[in-house]
Parts: sequence; structure tokens; C-alpha cells
Amino acid sequence: MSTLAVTNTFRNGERITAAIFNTNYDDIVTYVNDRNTAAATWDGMRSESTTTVPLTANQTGTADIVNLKDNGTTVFQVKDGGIVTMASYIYARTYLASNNVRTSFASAKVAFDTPTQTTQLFNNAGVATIASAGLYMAIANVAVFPSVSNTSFTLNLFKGVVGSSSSSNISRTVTRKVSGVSIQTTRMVEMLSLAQNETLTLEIASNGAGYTVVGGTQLTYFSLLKVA
Amino acid sequence: MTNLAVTNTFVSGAIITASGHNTNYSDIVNYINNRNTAVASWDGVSVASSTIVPLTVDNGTGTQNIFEVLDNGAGVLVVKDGGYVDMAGQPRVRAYRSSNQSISAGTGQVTFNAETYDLKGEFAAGVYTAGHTGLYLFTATVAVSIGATDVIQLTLIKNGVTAVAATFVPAVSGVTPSVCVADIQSMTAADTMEVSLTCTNNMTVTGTEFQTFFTVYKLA
Repeated sequence: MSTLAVTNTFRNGERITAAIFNTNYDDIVTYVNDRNTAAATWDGMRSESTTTVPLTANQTGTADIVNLKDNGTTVFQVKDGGIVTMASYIYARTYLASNNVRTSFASAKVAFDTPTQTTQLFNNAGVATIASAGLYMAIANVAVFPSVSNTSFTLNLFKGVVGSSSSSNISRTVTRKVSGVSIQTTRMVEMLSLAQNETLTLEIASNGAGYTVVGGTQLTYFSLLKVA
Repeated sequence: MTNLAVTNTFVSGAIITASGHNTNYSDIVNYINNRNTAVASWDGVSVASSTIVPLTVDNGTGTQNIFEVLDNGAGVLVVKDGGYVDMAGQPRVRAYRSSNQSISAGTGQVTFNAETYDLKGEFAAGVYTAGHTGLYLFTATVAVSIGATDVIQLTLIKNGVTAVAATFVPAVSGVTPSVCVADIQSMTAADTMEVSLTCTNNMTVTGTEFQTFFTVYKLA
């Protein structure tokens, strides 16, 4: 805490000199100017108004406009030009490393087994656990190779809770039947409102015989980003 | 820089008048009050605390904006009443193909040759170049005419080396299928991203703004 204080307190009956006055004025001027130039910090600031914009930051040069820090580390930054960088985003990405042969058409988990990001939500079995409640963007891409023609595929996204065996299907994407046998991709793009400790699991099903889920970071992946 | 200054500096031995003090106090009061009412601005503000929330902004019962971030007077980030956030300065691109493009058998770049928007001028000659390090959302949708038995691949290529994400779609006779791809990618400033198509036979990309396009947005 560093609050404003003046050096001299006047007492009745004592002589007050010019220097004493000047010192007190200097105390005030220095305190205010150090904070005007950001050489010193305010301990706290609260801006409140029902009529004017309570807080405006205008940069007329090319320096950063706003820096929010956590113990000295910048976590939110508005750079010159208005480019926003949030250093502490929650972003996770995982992929299936190698092919996974399915002999059944029944819905079964896509066992994403290779998380790639520093901030991890996915375990090595492809289950994401939400660490912070909020709105998440989910993008899943699953490449499959059917064993017979006219196969369609369904992606099912299940939401559960840590410690509970029950889960519910919260999103579904169905691809069309394909004449011929060739590799194809099923895809899901979603925005999900999720609570802490909820889990996400992606499953895939077909309407036909067995198939192969094709592995590779470019082909079969699941990205999850907290956007709000 | 507009620092606080008081008008009068008192001299030892000289008479110190009440008006001299009043003027100095007015200097101080006016300086602070002008900043309290936002008639004048601080040159910079730094707030630090290890115990309380350093900065709180409240628009009370009013409906005016809560927080405005301006770059030389232009709003680039605004927190509106109710908490809605506008980030007008965030890099974004939407490029599209304005005319049909023929791509020979094999792999070829989809040359998006027109732009719906490109806020920071980061897209040129079919290639997006990140101006700033961060996390980006990429999507690409391409309508393409191919043979009835052809299989095509749409690929996002990062730094010209390896496909970052790809998709395949078997063709159906008599239709022009759209293929699309999306992913979130961590980019370093100057990293590039472009889009390619791969097919064993010749392809024709349908060139319209609403069918063949590439979008980029900096998420964080």
C-alpha cells in the first residue's frame, strides 16, 4: 500500500515557513505525477458512472494500449491496432495416432490418444474433462475407411460428469451414404456450454459393416477451446 | 504529458498569502477532479495489488459502454452495457474464389483471388500470413467439380510444409460437392497458412463468393 501523505502537519502557535508549505505541495505533486506517468501504481482503482463511459484507454502512439498482468506476467493484452492476445487461453487438441479397425458398426468411442497442447483437457483415452466452466468451441474431424459401399457415419458427442457412469448424447452429425469404398471424413463443429468437471467423449457409428478409423494428426483430431 | 503543477512556490521571507494557497489548492483540486470526471485523461495508469481486485469498472444502472479501448481515437475493443465485447481490431480474413479455377490432377493451391474482408492486410496471393502470435480459427470451404468416382482431399498447409488438417469426400455423379475443413491452430507471427486440393484427376473449383472461401480469425 502506498497512500498519499504530506510531510508536515501544522500546529497552532508554531511558525510555518515557506519551505514547509513547499514540501507538502511537492509531496502531493510527486504522488500524483508518479501515478500519471505510471512510474508508481495505484493500489486499487474503481471507476463507476451511470452517465459517462467509466473507463477509456486511448493510445496515440504505437505502444500497447492495455496490459493485464498476473504477478507480472501479461495475461491479456491489447496491442497497437487493437490486436487482442489472451495468453492464458484454455485450448486442447488431441488426435488418434494410428489406425483403429472396427468390426462392429455400433457406436464406440474414438480413442484419441495423443494430446498435443500444454493446456490439457484430454486424457490418453480421449476423454476431455472441463477444468473451468464456460463456453467452448469444439471441432472434431474423423477420417474413416468403410469396408463396404453405401456406408454412412454418425458422430455422437457425449457429455458426462467426473465420477458418474452416465452420459448423454448432446450433439450428432451424420454424413451421407457414399457409393464406393474410399476414405472419407466426418466432422463436427459445435459451441458448448460446459460446467466444471463435465466430460466429453466422441463416438462414431456406421450403418453398415466394419470400418477403419484412420489415424493421424491431420485426419482424426479433436480441438477444444474455451471462448468465453 | 500533462503533469500536476502548482502555480505558486513560496519564498522564504516573503509574505505567504491566503490567495497563494487557494490558487495552489485549486490547481490540485482541478487536476484531480478533471480526471475523476474524465474531462482530462491520465497519461498512463498502472494499478497493482496482491490482495484486492486492482481494477474494477462499473457502469451502474446506465446503458453506456463500460470500457472503451481506443487506438488513436478509434474504438478497437469495447465492453458494452451488459458485458458484450466488440473486438473491432482483431485480425480477420475472408477470402474467396471469384471465378472458376482449374487444377490439374495431383495437388494444387486453391488461389483465393478476392476478399470479403481482410482487416490487417494479412492475405495475399492465396496465402495467409499471421501478423501476430496467437491462436487462430481456420475454415475453408471449396465447391469442386470432379468425376463421379473421384476422391478429393482439402488440406490446410502451414508454412508450406505439411498438411495440418485434411478432409476427403467421394464424389457423386451430377453434383458439385462442397468440401470443408476447420481447425484451431497455434500460430507464430509470420507463420503462413494456405489451402490445397488433391485429386487423381483434373478438378474445377467453382468460383463464387458464397461457395469457395477461406476464413481466418484470431481467437486469442
